[in-house]
Amino acid sequence: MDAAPYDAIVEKLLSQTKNGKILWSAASHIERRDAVGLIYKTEVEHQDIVLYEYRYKTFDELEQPDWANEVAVEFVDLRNALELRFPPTDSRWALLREVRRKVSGVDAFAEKFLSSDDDDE
Amino acid sequence: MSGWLVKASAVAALSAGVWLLALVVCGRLSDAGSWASLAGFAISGWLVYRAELLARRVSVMLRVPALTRRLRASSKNIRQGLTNNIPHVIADALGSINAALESLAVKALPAALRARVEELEQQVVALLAVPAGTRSPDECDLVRERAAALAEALENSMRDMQS
Repeated sequence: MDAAPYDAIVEKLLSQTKNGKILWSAASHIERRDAVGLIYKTEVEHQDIVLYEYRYKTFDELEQPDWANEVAVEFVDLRNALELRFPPTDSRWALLREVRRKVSGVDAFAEKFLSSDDDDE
Repeated sequence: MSGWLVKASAVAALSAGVWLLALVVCGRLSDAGSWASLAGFAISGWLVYRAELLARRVSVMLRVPALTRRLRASSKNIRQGLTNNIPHVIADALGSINAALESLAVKALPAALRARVEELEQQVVALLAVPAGTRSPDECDLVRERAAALAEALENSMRDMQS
């Protein structure tokens, strides 16, 4: 199993998310253990894809537990059960940031909010 | 310290040999004083050798608690890496196990433990040679199990040595 196809897939997901060809939505009905924040879902080429941040426990050399964060990109079936989790790819965090930005609507909010008159007092 | 003792031991043994040769050459083999000094050399060499072995054991005993923690932590990290499909976590854990095993003074261990350490070291090195993402999860899981088991065996062995 070569990691290269995963990199290319996530890279393309990122570019098509940026230009609006792929739309993501928050999937509050999907549950994942140790997920951080919202879980996002989209459909590309009849394949459901789920994206989210999660945390996992690590242990240092003194066996002290700590937490680290990762991004999961998963193929899921119609019932959102895991089919395949991608190994970490170079663009995974960029994709998550972009999806969060799009889904949160921060751009529209900023456009509206920053252009409105300051009516304090 | 350990290297110094090995050299001292070798020098003592060599000196005893030279002394014995000198006795033969000088025809003093029947001289009791000469034999006593030769025995002195031999005993001092043996004592230095035993001291060196003891120093090695003490050194291992002092390091074992940190090593076993490291082995257990790495074993747990391999589990996390396997569960979450994170190859670099597995690679880091394998590297940590390898470093722990390399730092272990294998010669100072009992034979059974030595064999386990060497076997695990070979498995870890073989897995590290495989590119990340293509390692067999089953083999990684086997290393995880063996690293945890070795940590326990090391602790038991150290308890036996202390008692």
